[in-house]
Amino acid sequence: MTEEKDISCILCPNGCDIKIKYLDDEIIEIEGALCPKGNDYAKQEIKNPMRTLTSSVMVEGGDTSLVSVKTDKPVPLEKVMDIMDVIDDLRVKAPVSVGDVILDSPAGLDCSIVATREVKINI
Amino acid sequence: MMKKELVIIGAGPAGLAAALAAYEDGIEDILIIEREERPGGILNQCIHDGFGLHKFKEVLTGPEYAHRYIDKVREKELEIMTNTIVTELTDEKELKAFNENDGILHIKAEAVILAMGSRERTAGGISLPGDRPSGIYTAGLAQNLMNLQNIQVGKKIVILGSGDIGLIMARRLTLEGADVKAVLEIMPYSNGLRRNINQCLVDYNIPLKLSQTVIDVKGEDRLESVTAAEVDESFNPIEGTEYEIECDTLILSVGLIPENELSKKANVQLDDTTGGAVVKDNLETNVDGIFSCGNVLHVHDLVDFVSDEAEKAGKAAAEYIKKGHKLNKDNIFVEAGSGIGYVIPQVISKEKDQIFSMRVRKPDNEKTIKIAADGKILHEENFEKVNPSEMIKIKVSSEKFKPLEKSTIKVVAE
Ligand SMILES: Cc1cc2nc3c(=O)[nH]c(=O)nc-3n(C[C@H](O)[C@H](O)[C@H](O)COP(=O)(O)OP(=O)(O)OC[C@H]3O[C@@H](n4cnc5c(N)ncnc54)[C@H](O)[C@@H]3O)c2cc1C
Ligand code: SF4
Repeated sequence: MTEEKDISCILCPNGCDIKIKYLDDEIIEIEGALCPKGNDYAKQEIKNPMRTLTSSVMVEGGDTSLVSVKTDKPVPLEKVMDIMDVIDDLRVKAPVSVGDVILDSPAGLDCSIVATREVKINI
Repeated sequence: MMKKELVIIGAGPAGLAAALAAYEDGIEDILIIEREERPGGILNQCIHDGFGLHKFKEVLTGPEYAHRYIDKVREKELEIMTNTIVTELTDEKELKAFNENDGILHIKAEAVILAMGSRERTAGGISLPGDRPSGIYTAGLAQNLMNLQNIQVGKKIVILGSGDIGLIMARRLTLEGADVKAVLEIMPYSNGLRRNINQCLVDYNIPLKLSQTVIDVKGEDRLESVTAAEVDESFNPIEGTEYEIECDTLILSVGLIPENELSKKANVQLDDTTGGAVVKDNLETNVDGIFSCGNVLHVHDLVDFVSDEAEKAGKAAAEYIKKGHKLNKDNIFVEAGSGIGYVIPQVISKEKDQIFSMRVRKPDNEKTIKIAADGKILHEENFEKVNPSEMIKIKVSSEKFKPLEKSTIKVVAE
């Protein structure tokens, strides 16, 4: 049976509402996206939604106790909580610079956790 | 008394971008004053992504976006005085600031840029009924505690208000293991961006309850429950719809207000609808040489637009300093007409191309925004969808204003 879904694209602030009709993995109709990225996004959404995870990790010896982090690529939404479990136990040592890799392949996924802010050594 | 060509109050994205733009235009004697320990403003606590798409064509987190500007400010060696609060400002552009090392500083500036950002509406501000146990936080405060200070706010959460900060916090709290029971919104629509509803609520199965509000708060020391109810069209609770939600934390995400206490001291005229200054097309206020940009002027949902606006203010301040007198003859007043909440700038000159920033009053489909004067339409633009949460920008060339005789133009959504 064909299924229909309304998806709002999260890739940019336009937030286009995309209507997608599909049968299993086959797309029958897709409309509403202002740019081609939206169609790819909608197709991905019905198969396996992907998200960039942002969170924070504890820092030792820094001028703040947390460093904000993100996954350097989108990860499957259903794996987000697995990464959170790993992140909860992580500790890094100051200093940290923006873009530093904090951890490779968390929970066995193809991505890295990278720092999104700098933390200086506490003096 | 310390003398500076340009003083910028606030080192958030607005203050930083304004400083860089003024520097580009030849002003080097710049002082940025920031009350927090580090520059970056509210972006430091916005660790989620969704910033920078317009400016950098990539998706950045708040701290990353701020970092790009902080790096440039450091590279140009512009002075940022942190841990320093500005307490006084006069229409002669004299400031008083305070920090622990220097005590009280007296500063005289040739031009001042207001970039103080906004503050949150509180429980008092929306007259929340019931007890006042602990466990009630504004969303921005909860965000600050969790993301900067590593303090968890609670386990069972109700969020009142579906603005972006509330939505972002719903996801953040869920990721950190809390149980977010519901987001209640008194309006029949959410004030948050669509993408945030999707990736913060839908992704985590958090219910969004529209046309509902909190009518009672219970708890002695710590919050124990809230009573929610549906509301009618005049926002009055509908009898018989009440239900109780057990929770230890209530997060209020009920809006931001431009932070204009200092502006008032300097006799800056404020606009009742925006809560920010009335500005000319170069973002100068009614006070000569005092400019305003960012959330202190009107609350923005996209930081990219804050940076654009701030650059304009920075350039205008540079021009003012170089010329040392009144800049242009602004004489056309801009009014928000039916369907439009507000329009910025409120005063324009005929000689320049204009970009009007505005918000509609309610969400709608198929709307035309018309800019009219002297009984004629100067410019119109069609929108498939409009939403108060999404700021609209409309460009109009100066050609259209030149023939004008009357001194008021009106913007309407029909
Ligand atoms: C929770 C939240 C989520 C957001 N999410 C997004 C998003 O996903 N994408 C996006 O593009 N935008 C987002 N925004 C919007 C964007 O972050 C803001 O519009 C922008 O940060 C406003 O910049 P600003 O410089 O005007 O104000 P602020 O960042 O608030 O900076 C003002 C600065 O002035 C300082 N200050 C104030 N008064 C004084 C004083 N008297 N003396 C000295 N210093 C003073 C303050 O300490 C502060 O550092 C979000 C905003 C919030 C609050
Ligand atoms: S479809 Fe394109 S324009 Fe629309 S929200 Fe997605 S990325 Fe933005």
